[in-house]
Amino acid sequence: MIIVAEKEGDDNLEPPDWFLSREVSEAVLNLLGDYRFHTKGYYVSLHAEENKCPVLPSVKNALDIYRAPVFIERIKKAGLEVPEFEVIPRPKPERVVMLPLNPFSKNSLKVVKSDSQYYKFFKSLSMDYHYPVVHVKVEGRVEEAIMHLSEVRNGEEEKKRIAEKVFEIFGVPLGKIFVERIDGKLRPFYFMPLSKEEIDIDLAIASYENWVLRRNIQL
Amino acid sequence: MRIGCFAETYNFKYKEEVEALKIFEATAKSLGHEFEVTGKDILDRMDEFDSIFIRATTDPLFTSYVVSRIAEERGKKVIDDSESIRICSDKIALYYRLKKNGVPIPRTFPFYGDFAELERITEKIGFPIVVKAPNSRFSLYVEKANDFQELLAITKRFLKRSKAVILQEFIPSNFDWRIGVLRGEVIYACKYLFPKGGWRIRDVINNRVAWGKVRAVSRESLPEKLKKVALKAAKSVGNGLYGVDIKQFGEEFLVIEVNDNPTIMHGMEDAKDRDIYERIISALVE
Repeated sequence: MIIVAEKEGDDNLEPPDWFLSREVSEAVLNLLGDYRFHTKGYYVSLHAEENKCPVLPSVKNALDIYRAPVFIERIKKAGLEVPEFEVIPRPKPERVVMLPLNPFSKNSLKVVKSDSQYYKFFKSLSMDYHYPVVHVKVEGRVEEAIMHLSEVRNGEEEKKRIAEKVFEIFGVPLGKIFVERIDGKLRPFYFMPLSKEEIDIDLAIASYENWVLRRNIQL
Repeated sequence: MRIGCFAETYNFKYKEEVEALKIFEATAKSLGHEFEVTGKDILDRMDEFDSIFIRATTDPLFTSYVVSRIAEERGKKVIDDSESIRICSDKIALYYRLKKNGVPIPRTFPFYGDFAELERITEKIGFPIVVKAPNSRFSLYVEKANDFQELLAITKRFLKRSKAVILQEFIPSNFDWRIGVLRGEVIYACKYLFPKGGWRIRDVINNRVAWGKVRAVSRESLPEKLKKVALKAAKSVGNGLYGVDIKQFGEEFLVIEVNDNPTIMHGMEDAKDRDIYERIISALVE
């Protein structure tokens, strides 16, 4: 098992540049945290897959998880409750949470509080009206859960349950899940990459070991 | 069957492309199907269609990818499928596939920014070297380096956009073959001629962008070896609709690229083999 991560001084981890320069033949846990298209995290998973190695995450899931409509479609299909959403090609001011359809920027979730704010957000998220924007009809409070595989650091049980389910569906080890808290329930609707500072490698590895152990027990 | 065709405003820029869309529509109707060209609202109207035909530019970062994935999640037939988009939109992924499947290609190396490796790679390829950004298309972000200094400058510039680039042996020619493949069959063929003084179909000549001409060639008249190479390259990606770009070097054929979502313009790609519309519509409804 190869663990690819950017953390100096730990011989158990393999730096991505070294990993990408050689042929590999083992299972790979990719802990780079950002797996969007054309990132190093994406290419580590691609390199593993094309060398026929099992890898977390797969490139298909890495592409799916950051696209809000695909993320919502898949978790809804898997039985999780989600808020309603709409893909909007032209501005239509509403008090919603706005998301980019195309993941060109990282910190891009916007909570609309006024019409003037709405137009500003639409312009930036659509990259000057070039791309559609996703409206999520959120009535409750927006919260986040930083996910290390199926673990959420200092998280309540319900957030852990959501993280576990998201990890089961997509197999993406690291990320930030955005949820709506409403009537005591949590409804996930968006997923974003983690920055280097947000990644806790030790927690991720411990979480991976727990996950493997649980799967073995279940088997 | 109801076919939804996803197009964007730029698909209506050239009259030949608009004419092609009209022929697709007329062909579908003549075969007893509905065909509607629609824009970004297709994502909210997905359930109105049985199959989806994507004509807008495909890329995992664009709307077209979401259209393809949602269509797949809802069990619809879709051209282009998301796997083909993912492979063809990334020259690194395409390189892996072509290499793994033994498709003849020029000497090629992916480069991830470890500059200590660069000199070793240049020794294996030799100059000039073609540098491609992973998401290059229509010859954009494809440049030729004649020496190491040029190579350094180009790779550094390209690596600002992506964490990887492709370095490839330069094969001199006056044209690229474009072989249209659908579900494992050659459906059309063209020569994409380079503009005078250029080395790619879209080039910059005397500081002006110049496009080469398209010359259709009947698929029946193609050399068997060329067809075989094109089919092998397409198969290494999937079973959809592709435009395979090939360099002819004497009797040898080397694959440069496999493109999903190949350009289809009336009077160009369809000039010799006019049944391409019927074949594509049939693939969408079967």
